Amino acid sequence: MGEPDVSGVVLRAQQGDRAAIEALVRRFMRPAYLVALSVVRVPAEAEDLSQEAVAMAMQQLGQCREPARFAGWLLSNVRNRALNHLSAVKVRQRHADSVVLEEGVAADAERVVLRQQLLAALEVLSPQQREVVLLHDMESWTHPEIAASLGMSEVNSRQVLSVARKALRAKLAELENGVAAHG
Amino acid sequence: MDDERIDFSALDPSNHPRRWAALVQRTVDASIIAPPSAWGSLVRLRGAVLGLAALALLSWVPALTRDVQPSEEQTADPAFALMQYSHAGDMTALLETTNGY
Repeated sequence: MGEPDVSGVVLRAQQGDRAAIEALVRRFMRPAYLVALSVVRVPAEAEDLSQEAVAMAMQQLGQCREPARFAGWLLSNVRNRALNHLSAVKVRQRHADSVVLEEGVAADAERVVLRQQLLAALEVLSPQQREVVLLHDMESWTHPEIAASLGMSEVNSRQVLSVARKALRAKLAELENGVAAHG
Repeated sequence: MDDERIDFSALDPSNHPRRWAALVQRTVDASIIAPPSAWGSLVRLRGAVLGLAALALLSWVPALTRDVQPSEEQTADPAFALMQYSHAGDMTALLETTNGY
């Protein structure tokens, strides 16, 4: 992620530099998506929310008073928007249907099953555990980066990751066994 | 400690590259605000504009209230005398200048 060198890009973006704005969006779109996914657990919803939240945040970039903490500020915006969305809509009820619908016929069946299992397994985690494990294992963010962005200590980040992985593995094994038993 | 990463590749949005690229591009487009219009700039700077207008008005006050002594040429001018009459009710200046007519 390279948080320190983001400051210069943020400052340029705050002055209306389009290239800087685009660079920030491209750099932080995936983390934003993962944070939204951690909250709503529905990929299609997470896509819409991350798009809206990132665009809105970029338009209000002047409110980011500490450019060095841009990632934390942005992800906090995304998280809040996703939480507001979650409280307004009962996303969970649409969960199972949406996963099947968005995959359609194009994706291979194995990946669809894996995806469903991962989403189901993520349900056992808290939103914070989901953010940590997704940012670390999918985005390769380091613990200092996660700690700075999520407002926690590095030690806490490591602990959260360890607990989250353990719980995920247990749930995935359980789901795997369920599939094997039924299959 | 559990040091082995979980394989989340099935959840990776880049599995659908076109869809993801389109989403990122839409977000970029929505993030870049159009340059402000002239009216927008005026609205945004309305405080400064009002302040400057007030300053300009205030700078005129001494010129409007100060007692200006008319020059000889001006006092002989009927138009100036008429203006003095309408402004201060100074009938003498008006009579003096119109005597010749």
